[in-house]
Amino acid sequence: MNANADRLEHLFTRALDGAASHDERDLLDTLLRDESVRARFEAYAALDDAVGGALRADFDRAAALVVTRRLGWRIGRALAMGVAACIATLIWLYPPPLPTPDHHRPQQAGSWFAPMEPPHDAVETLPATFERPQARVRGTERHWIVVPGDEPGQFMIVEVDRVRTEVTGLYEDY
Amino acid sequence: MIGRLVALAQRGDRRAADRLVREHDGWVRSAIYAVVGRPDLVDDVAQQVWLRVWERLGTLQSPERLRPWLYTIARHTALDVGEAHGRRRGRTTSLEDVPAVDERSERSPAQAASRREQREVLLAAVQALPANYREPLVLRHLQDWSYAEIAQVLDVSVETVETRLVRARALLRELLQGQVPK
Repeated sequence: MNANADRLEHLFTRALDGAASHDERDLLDTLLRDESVRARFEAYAALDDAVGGALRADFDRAAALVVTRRLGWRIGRALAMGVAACIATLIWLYPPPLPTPDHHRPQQAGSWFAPMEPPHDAVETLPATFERPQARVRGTERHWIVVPGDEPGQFMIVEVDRVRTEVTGLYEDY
Repeated sequence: MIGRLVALAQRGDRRAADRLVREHDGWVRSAIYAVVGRPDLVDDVAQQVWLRVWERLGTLQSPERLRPWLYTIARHTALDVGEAHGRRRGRTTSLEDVPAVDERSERSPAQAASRREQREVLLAAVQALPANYREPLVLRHLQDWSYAEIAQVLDVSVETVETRLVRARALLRELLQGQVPK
């Protein structure tokens, strides 16, 4: 590229980019009277216009993709919330049976708002010959669990015999 | 003004941070697109860019250099992602196979397809440019920035921007000889 051609390219570029001064625009107008220069400038401008249009169209796809992606996300979120609401309604209308520890316990029926049945006490009644324990710990195994009561001097004593669990009442001055 | 905004954002002011994003997200996305050349990656890269910006905002010493600082982060992030996804060059078709079509005379599906194909060829040619020519050209077209604005972001002189734009257009003309609308 010779110096004149290089200067002309700079002039074309500055004119296309709106960076040409008043003098440069006058110079370009003068040069464009030459048919070969005019043809060259028009080709230059057409290429630049086509490239700019292609870039803008492609870049605008980025914004369109974002909108599409966000719209898809919103629709997906709404669908997920709808499905979750349906499942919650079904569970509310048809609550699943509660697991029972044994066969003696009656199954909870009715809706979630039905009053709960009192839990069945699995603790056996105290034998008539029950004697007050004399030791908290017998040997190395803990047979007696002592839980402090609400008031000083009150304790709850639990006897553990590995087979069954018995609960006694609260005793004072243990 | 920009210094005060940056200082507030550095101190954790969420409104200032939000304003920074709103004012700069547009051109940051253009810069990302100029590097990766793929519109489908722009949104993801932009999110990564802003994440890095908040992580490093405290290290920005001169708030007046926010734009070149942002551009550097955007460019590096875009390059990382671009390398991971592969460049767009794969979609390049033979330049000789594409006829010159005047977009304004497009009337039929065949013409529309031809126009799309031509656009692809133009974009492929832009992507084939060296990065230092491609990036100012894309910023010029997408942001309609002056040479001074491009120079500020790229951290080069105004004369360098002009020279790069001249070279970019000359290279494009060579690549696309006879394949653009007359």
